[in-house]
Parts: sequence; C-alpha cells; structure tokens
Amino acid sequence: MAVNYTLSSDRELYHYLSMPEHRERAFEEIYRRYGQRIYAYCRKILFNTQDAEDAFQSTFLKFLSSISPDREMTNLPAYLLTIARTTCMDMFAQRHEHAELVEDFHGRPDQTVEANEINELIEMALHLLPAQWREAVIMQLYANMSYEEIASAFGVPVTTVRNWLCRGRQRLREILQPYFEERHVEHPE
Amino acid sequence: MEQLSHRDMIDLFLDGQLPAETRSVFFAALAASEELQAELHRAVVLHAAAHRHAQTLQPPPALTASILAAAATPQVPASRTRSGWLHAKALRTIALTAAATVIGFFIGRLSGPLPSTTKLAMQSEHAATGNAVAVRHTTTQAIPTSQNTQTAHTTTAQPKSTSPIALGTPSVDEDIAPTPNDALTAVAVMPLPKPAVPVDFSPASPQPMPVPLGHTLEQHSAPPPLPPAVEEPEEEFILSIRQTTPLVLRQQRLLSPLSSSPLNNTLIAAEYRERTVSILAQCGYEQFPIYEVTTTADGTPQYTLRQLLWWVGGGMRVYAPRAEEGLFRTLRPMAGIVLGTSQYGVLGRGEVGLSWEVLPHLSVQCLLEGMVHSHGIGTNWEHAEKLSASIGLAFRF
Repeated sequence: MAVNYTLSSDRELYHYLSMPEHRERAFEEIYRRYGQRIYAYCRKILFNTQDAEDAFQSTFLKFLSSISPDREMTNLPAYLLTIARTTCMDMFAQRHEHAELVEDFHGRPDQTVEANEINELIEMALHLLPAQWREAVIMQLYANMSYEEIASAFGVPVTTVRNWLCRGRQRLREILQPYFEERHVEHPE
Repeated sequence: MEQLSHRDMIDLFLDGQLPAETRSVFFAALAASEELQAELHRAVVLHAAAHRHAQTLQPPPALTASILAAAATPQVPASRTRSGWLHAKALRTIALTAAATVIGFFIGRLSGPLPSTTKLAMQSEHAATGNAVAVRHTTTQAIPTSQNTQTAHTTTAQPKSTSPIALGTPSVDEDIAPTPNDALTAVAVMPLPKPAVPVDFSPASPQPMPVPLGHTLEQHSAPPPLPPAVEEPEEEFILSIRQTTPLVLRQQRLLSPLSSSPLNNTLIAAEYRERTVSILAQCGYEQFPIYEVTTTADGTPQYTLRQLLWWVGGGMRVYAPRAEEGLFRTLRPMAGIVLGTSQYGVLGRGEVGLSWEVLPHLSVQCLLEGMVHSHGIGTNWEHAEKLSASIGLAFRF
C-alpha cells in the first residue's frame, strides 16, 4: 500500500524510519519539515557557518543512528532540537566563541543594506543576553519552536520558558532602542 | 498565575499565548498608552526581521544531499557505528585473514624442516630396473673420508652441479670433484648431515640395500620426493594487486559508514626488494570520505562528499628474515609506510601484515592498513582516516 508521507504524522514518520522500505522517504519528509528550523537554530547559536553546518549534519546523523522501534516519539521537533542543542553546546565548548562571532557578521548580498544591518544588530544583541534567554529566543524567533517544544528541549516547565522569552525579547528591544530611534521605526507600515 | 505586566502581554499577544480573560485588559492599556504602542511596534519589527532572516537560512543543497544520502545507506545500530570492528564486513575480512594464516601454518608444517643453509636438494626417482635409485646430491660439505675422490658420492663446495649416483653402479664426475683443499675447508666449516637415504659409498661392493621387514622393494627404493629448499634471493621484483575492505572510516562531517563496493577498493604496487627491505610504488582506487570544498559567491563554503579517491605514492617495506624451518619459513611478517598524493590532497599510509610465499614466484599478502588523508581549505585542514584490511596476490620475479 502506498504511503503518503506528507500527510503522515511525526509519530508515524518516526515509526516508518525503522522499516527499511520506508526509511529513506520518511527521513526525507522529516528533514523537509524540520531541516530548515534546525539549521537556522544552529546558525544562530554557533555564529559561524561552518560550525553550524557541521552541527546540523551531526544532528541528523545522530538522529538516524538513534532510531529505535521501541521508542514512542511524542515530540519530534523537540527531540531534534535537543540533539541539535547538545551538539551545538559540544561544538561551542570546543571553539573560540569570540573569534567566530565576527565571521558571520558580513550579511548576505541578496538582502538590502537595511535588512543586513538589523540582522547584524539583532545578532549582536542576542549575544548580550544571558545564555538561557538567548537560546530560548533563538529557538522561538529563528527555529519557530513553540513554548512546549522549547520547554521539552530544555527540560523545564512551560512557564519558565515563557518567562525567559518575555525577559529576553524585552531586553533585546532595550538593546536595540537606539537603532529604532535613529531609524524612526516607531510606526512601521 | 502570576501577574503579567503590559510589556509581557505584548510578547504573549504576538505569540498567541495571551489568555482570553487578559486580552481586554491589554487592548485597553494599548489604546491608552502611546509608549505601549511604540513597544508593540518595535516588537513587531523585531519579529518580522527575525522571521525574514530565518527564512533565508537554508541548508546548502550539498549538505542536504549528503544527509539524505546517509539515510539511504543501510541502518547501522549506534553501537556498531561506534565500534567499526564489529561490522560484519570487518568480521569477514578478519576471518579470511585468520583462515589464510591457519592454512599457511599447516602448509609450513607439512613442508617439514629443511635446512636451507646447507643448500641441499635431493631428488629420487625410480630407475628402470626398479631397485636403483638416482640421487642428485648437491652440498657445500664434503665427506670426511680419505676416499673423497674415489667414492661414488659427488661432493662440491659450490652448488654448481649435480651428479647422478646409481646405487650399485657408481660413477664419478671428475670435473666437479673437489680438490682435497676444498674438501678440508668445507669440512672445517660445516658438519656432515645425516643422509636422508642410506647410501652405500663403497665402489667395490655394490650390495643391494637391505629391505626392512614388511616393506616391498618398490616401497623402500622410492622414498617420497622432498620439496626443494626455499632460498632467499638477493633481490626480487614484486608486482602485487590487493583488494581492500574498509573497516573504519572517520571524517568529522561523516558519522555513518559509506556504502562499499568490492570494485572500488583496489591497490596495485610495484616493489623492488633486497633481502628484507624494499622500496615500492603504489597506487590505489579507494573508497574514502572526502569533502571537496568550494566557495559560493557570498563566501559560504559548500561541501560536496566525494566517496572515491585515486592516489599514487611511494614508500618502503620491511620483511622479517626468512626462517629456516617452521611456520615462518613461508609466512613472512611485513610492515611498510607509504606517502602519496590524491586528486584532493596528501595522504600517509601505514601497513602491517603477512606475506605467505605459497609458491616460488607467488605470494598471498594479507595486510591491515591505516590511512590518513588531508587537504587544505584556506587555513583549515580537512582530515579523514580509514582503517582497512586487504588481501591480494604478489608475483615475484
């Protein structure tokens, strides 16, 4: 019977991973759903493209090697995010954080100067946040994770995550206040 | 539930997490405060910028391809990924190597001890009469009798000639008979070994050999032929071809094993050996996890997995000296190093193993090989390591 992977739930897809005939297609669908979010998280956490790509690849390969038919997968994005977070933490500990922070501040040529400017400022501001706030904000803003998924990845209650996110984003806005005033971004179109 | 500030409400509102009972409070505060409106606008700008930027962060196609290719390979349990030695392919290779070693051991034992330094080569064959045995005896020692030049036994200090001796019809090859001085010199150097076949050296009494009880004349007069002694040649040219099997592949970007094919793991070596040391030139077409790095227009490195590698190199090998008898008479441990270059970078290779000299001009080689490959990307270096086992044939000239 043909399986429509696009319509399958995360739990079903994970179940298919243990079946050789479905494994490749199921993994492709999981990658399609969460690959970009995990990649964005790695990029923002590690501040360095090469390290981020290493961490991103390691995340999915670790995920592949950890597949077990006995495991009941209840929250696949949180599971992937937990692997990515562990991988990034390991990599972060091995690298010189400051030296690589500068490397990623060159922006993208396909974006406007203004967009590059605010992205760089946000990145710098993120770096000034406490580690847990920063991570939670990155997970939410860039990896598009829900409160529950972030809480699951951290292993903390949802209320704690909500608190971190509120504090983190408020601090972010405070740091970027001069930029907003200079650009008069008080009432966007 | 804890009391929410208006600023908290902004974030919760944007996330869709603001409780329904609090929304009216929030909207009322928003309508009354320009500062709160400005804060909301800043939050929206920040959100929008972050989301727009997140959409541009896409994994490179090459990276996606290599990750999806990993899913296409057969699933390897985590424990096996960590320990390549438990890989079934590795077990097969080790079993083959062990089998070859055991066979070599028994072949060596069956060959029996034969002192190669005496350069003794004896051949026996049936004479037409049935009771005459032709013996070719070439040795470096002399018969310590005063009748050296008068006996039917041909003795020479140089292994340059052989002489047939027919029991009962002795003949003397005068051309190669040693001078007394030669004989004396040889006697001083080497003791006389016990002849393998009882030979009557007396020229005057051609007595037939006594036949032990229970033996027929034919059985006794036709002893089994002895294998020729294996000599250590001074120099040899060796051409070998080997098939390798990857046991462990390591690359910092690659955690799962590559799919393997017997056709793309071949090594060819040409070797010049002088006694126990040789120099060699080697080339290989092997499976190896190499990431070729190119840079896009925006400076982002792109990694492309290359699974096959051509390489050439040179190096040296050391062989254990040939043993006179026992297992290591035909089975010789060997070790070597090779430095080379591939189409991507440089490599070093170390090998250790056994050469089983199964025939005078043919050997079977079983080696365990470690290989490290590096290639530069700007100031960074990509490394990959491989441990493999190989088995092949070597032709010695």
